[in-house]
Amino acid sequence: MFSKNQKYALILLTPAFALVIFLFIFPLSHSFYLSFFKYDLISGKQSFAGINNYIWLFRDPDFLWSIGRNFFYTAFVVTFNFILGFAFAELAIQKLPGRGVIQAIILLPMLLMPAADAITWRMLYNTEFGLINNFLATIGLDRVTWLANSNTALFAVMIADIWAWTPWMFLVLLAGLQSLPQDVFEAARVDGASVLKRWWHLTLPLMKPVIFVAITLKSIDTFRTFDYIWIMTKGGPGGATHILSSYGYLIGFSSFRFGIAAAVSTIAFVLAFIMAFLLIRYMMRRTR
Amino acid sequence: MKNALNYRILLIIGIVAVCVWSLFPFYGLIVTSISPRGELPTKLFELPSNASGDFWYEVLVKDPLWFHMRNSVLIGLLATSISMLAAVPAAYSISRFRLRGKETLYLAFLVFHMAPWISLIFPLFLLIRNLGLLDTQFGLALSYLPWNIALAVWLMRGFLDVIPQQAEEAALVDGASPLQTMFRVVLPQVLPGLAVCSMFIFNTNIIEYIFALTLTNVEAVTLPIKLSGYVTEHIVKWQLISAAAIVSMIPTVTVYLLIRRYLVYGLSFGMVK
Repeated sequence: MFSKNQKYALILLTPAFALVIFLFIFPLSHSFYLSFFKYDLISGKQSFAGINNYIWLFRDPDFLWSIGRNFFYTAFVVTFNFILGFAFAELAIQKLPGRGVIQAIILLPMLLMPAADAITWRMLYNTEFGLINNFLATIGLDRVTWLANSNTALFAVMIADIWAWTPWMFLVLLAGLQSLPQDVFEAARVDGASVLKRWWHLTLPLMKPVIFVAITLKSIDTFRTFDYIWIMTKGGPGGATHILSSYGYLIGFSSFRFGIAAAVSTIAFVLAFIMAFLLIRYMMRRTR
Repeated sequence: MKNALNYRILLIIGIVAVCVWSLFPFYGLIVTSISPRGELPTKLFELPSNASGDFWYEVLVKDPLWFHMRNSVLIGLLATSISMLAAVPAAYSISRFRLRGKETLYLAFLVFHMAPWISLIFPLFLLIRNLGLLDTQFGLALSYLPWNIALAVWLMRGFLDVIPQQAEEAALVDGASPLQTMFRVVLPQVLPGLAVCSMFIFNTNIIEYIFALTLTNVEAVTLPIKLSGYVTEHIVKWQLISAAAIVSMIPTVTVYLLIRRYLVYGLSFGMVK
């Protein structure tokens, strides 16, 4: 029936496609093009630079570190999102009094927007009156300058990100757990399988598709993070928390070297694309 | 018997741990927001000796927070409606018509949606600047469209695929055009899906940070930018920030209450299946 109306199919696609080309494909190509130029945003001067921008970047240790840190950040945050999200989901499907309240409490961090998360955690980490340091002081430990110390700053930001996005992981995994076939578990229980055995041999394998999808989507989203780093540390102290987005943003909008910034954004796109491709392919293979 | 007791103890520990983890930052926000000027608690359970509503008054009445919240909502509504108008016909086309390479196209929308923001921020800044739309609500809304459209096509196709097709085919046989069929026969059947999808997109737009930071300056500044701006001001008023952070939950909580029933459904549709 529908196959005869090829013309209509294309007409229906046109508005979406036109907007995506104008606002996505064109800017992306423009960025790629700019990455081969020396372009100063203030003066507007543009001159061909070949691959100098890329060479400049790969000679800058800060840039190389920010790539590595970007992957580390993603792996760390997603791992803990997953562990906590799974634990919370297991807790929330138990037959508890006040289950709705507990679910609402778990979801609460999600209702604070990322910018608000970031400033809240900046406050919690504050040396003089932040709740975390107040806790340390109360139990007799020294106060720590969490965000100003290059050893702790990255972890401090990652914990804020984990706190903020665990509810998302929780929701997806809870939906997965709720859709598992109960009769299988009942049968295993009657056969005398222990809780841990049931979890390892039934829950995990049955949840595999949901787990892969959740981890894939969360990884792609965490890889491009910007707000937490930018609001909490701006990449500091001394570049110790720079990831690709904060590093590129600083070059583009603080030193106005748009050519180099465009090279950073091209590299970020390629890395994100490769990561997404590998994750999605892996996911499709494992869940089919 | 012993097992049942262990289970109970474990549950209670779990519930306490979850509550502490989720709630202690909110505790910090509330206590800070009612602390008087120049007096912030330095011990763990210290409450302000004379609670003060000064900063709440400042946020709710004197501060232009509402203006920025209105900006956020207007930009969110604008971007969401344009995106849905473009994306729904596209999703319908991909769902129903036999088109060569449509699965590739569908996958391409997923790739668009996953693109890092940093990879588009510089060229989009130049584009919006050259269009003379910097610091306007429309300019910022434009920058949200590609992500919105990609997500909407992705979600709406999932909703459309499960709608039975007999009614449409009957309408087509009767001589209705595909466009008429879409509006009169199909869309009424996916109203909940449309609502959930719009709400999701609206929510991602009002909490968005990097584009709002780059493309607005004074007039079109949105709520998240206003919030983070408090921290960079010279004298950081933590009481004010805390109260503002709590107030900033109004739009997200509203969206949450509206789609609560569909939250899991919407999150997982087309993603978890």
